[in-house]
Amino acid sequence: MNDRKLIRVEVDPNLCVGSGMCVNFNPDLFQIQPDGHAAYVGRKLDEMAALDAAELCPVSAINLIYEEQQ
Amino acid sequence: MSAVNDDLLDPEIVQNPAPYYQLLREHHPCHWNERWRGWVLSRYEDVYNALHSSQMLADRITPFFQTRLSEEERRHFALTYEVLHSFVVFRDPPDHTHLRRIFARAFMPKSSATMRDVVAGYVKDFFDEWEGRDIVDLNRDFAYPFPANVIASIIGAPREDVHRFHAWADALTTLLLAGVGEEQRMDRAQNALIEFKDYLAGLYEERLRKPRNDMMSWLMEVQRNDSALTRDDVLHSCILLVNAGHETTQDLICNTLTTLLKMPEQLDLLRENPAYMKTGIEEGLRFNGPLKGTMRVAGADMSIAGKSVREGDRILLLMGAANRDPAKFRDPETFDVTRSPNPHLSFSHGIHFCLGAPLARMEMEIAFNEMLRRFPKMHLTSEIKWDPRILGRSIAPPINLMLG
Repeated sequence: MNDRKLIRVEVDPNLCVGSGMCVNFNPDLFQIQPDGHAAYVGRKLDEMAALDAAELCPVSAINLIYEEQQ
Repeated sequence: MSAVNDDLLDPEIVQNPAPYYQLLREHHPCHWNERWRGWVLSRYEDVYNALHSSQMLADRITPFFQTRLSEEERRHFALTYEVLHSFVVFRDPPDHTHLRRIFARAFMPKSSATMRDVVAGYVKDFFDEWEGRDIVDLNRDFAYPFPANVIASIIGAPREDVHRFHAWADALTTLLLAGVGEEQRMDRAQNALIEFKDYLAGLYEERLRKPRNDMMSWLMEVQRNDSALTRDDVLHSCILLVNAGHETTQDLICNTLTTLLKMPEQLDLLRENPAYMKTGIEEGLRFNGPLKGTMRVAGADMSIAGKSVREGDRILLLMGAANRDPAKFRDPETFDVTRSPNPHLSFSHGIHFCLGAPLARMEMEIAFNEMLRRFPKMHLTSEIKWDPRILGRSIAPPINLMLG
């Protein structure tokens, strides 16, 4: 499990309410898009920060996608 | 000249707002309400955009005090201003960002989940007490005391004191949610705030000597390491949490259950398929959420639906109307416990999205599962009369249920 490779951080647009909690804590990694939803915009994948943002999200809209899940 | 009724407290609108909302959406999407002296938005897209716009300011407290009160009144109500202005719901970035960050961890879904057993315990206690009774008042015997007990536990107030919150919270709610024609509502609210703050200061002193495992102790711990957070901020935040966590949930329980009780086939669907409970609760939020609307102040001149809105204008965002906009929801006037997705705006949206949403959803799920299972024959014996409020949507007590 430990060597799973993170390949993507997704924000579910059906769940995201644009609370901006992910942006509040990680303004370099997340951004609110023109449609009001957040997106992961970090150039590198920061697994720890993404996990933290996923926990902080009030509607659990952030998903970490790992290679094995493909 | 306007064909629109500007009396938002007209009994016909209060009892059944749907036709009024439809008129606004279809013909007056950005309507100047002369009586309320502000703009009214009712389409989903406009309300959504306003909730997400940095040009729409949430601080409606400062303009109210500056423009509507005399200097003498401002002095007299200085404490009310100080308390309300410190509420995160009435703050804009960057102050909002900082305050919100403090609360984020305390209310994230994982933190709310730790309250699950406490919530389930309260639910069981209340419904044990219902057993053997023929008639209960949904409001007095459950919907009011249950969330009050939960939020008191979270803050760290003893259960015996919960009844004291009632009058304080009620006075503040009447002020904030625009209760009808109460001349003394500002005085009532200020007196309540003085007593409430004094009470919370007592809990604060106790925790200075002996911290506990509760929200107030936790906020005090944050305060020790964050010079921007003052003792007053901690006390005021607890006032906000009691208010926000209590009456809104109470109304959500009453509004959703009474709506369901009038639709036996929907209720049966829920009872027989507990998997629909999550979507059923969201539908309750959409259909008759505890807040019909919320207020913003234009931070700049702007154009909305062809109308020129000026900086400083008040704007009423009708989430209740947006939630029934056919441009966003199929068959919006139909209550459907299986509706999904359900992007209603009842918890607001954007940076002011309800901090307590995960808690409220959990409280609802546990309460409704238990209630439907244990009292399958309950039915409504009171007539539903909605309270005359501009922003809030609540039912006048009692709400009598026959259990057998």
